[in-house]
Amino acid sequence: MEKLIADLKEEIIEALNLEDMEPDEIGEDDALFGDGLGLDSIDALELIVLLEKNYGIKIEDPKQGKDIFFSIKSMAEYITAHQK
Amino acid sequence: MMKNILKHVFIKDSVLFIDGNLVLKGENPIFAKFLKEVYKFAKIKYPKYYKMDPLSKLGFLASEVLLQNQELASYPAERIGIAVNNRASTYLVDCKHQESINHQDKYFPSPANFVYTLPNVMTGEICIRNGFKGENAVFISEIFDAAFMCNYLNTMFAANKSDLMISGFVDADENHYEAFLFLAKNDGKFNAVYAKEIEELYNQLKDKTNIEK
Repeated sequence: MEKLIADLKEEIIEALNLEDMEPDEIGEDDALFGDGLGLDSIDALELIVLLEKNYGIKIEDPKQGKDIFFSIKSMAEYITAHQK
Repeated sequence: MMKNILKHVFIKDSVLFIDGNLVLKGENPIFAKFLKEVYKFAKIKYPKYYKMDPLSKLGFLASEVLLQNQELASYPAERIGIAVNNRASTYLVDCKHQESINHQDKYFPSPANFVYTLPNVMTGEICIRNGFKGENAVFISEIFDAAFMCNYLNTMFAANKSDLMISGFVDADENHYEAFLFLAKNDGKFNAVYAKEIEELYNQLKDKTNIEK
């Protein structure tokens, strides 16, 4: 899980062009949206693409997105549970 | 300086001119890296900048430098507008988007790229940043068409639709980038922005850039 979390931080920084940010600055429990990293709706779509492209996971129910993308940790847990 | 042109900015080939004065000569000839130098030089703090496509970054940076130290507070947001020329549209991000959809088995279009595949997103970003709610237009042409742009500004001013207009030429492809922006003011008496003078200014700035290269 630790490696997955570290990978996710790097992938998110790259995919979302968070050039000012270092992986260490993103806490695994930090909220990705709202007051946390301040991501927006386009970023949310980008994260959905990232899951499919890098981990082969398709989110069928958009309502799940809020829980899956709450934090890096919740993303990592979802990937671990759903990756084939 | 023409009396109703308040300021102008020119970016090309790793140099930045403000009102015809060289203020930054980049250390790096690569477009993306020079943009970073301009971002630092102008002391901008705007995280959304990093998400923009190259054309928007170029137009945004030129506008930031153009508007620094300008007193805009007395102008209603609805009366500040932007209208620019562009040649290659959003070619760079278009290519990136195309690469992401070329193969059916690797079909991963990026929403963050796709939203920038229109050149008027660049002017939209500038309006969002500054709260401008006036005219917002991008016109495609092979080269900077001073006659067309000045005619457009004159029409806006003569119809009393705008107090301030940002105008010029912003363009980028894989071999070339260039931003020429000027801030034109309507003084209420329809002071025409003369195309010939603007064209001469533009050509002078290009010549100066060639000397600095």
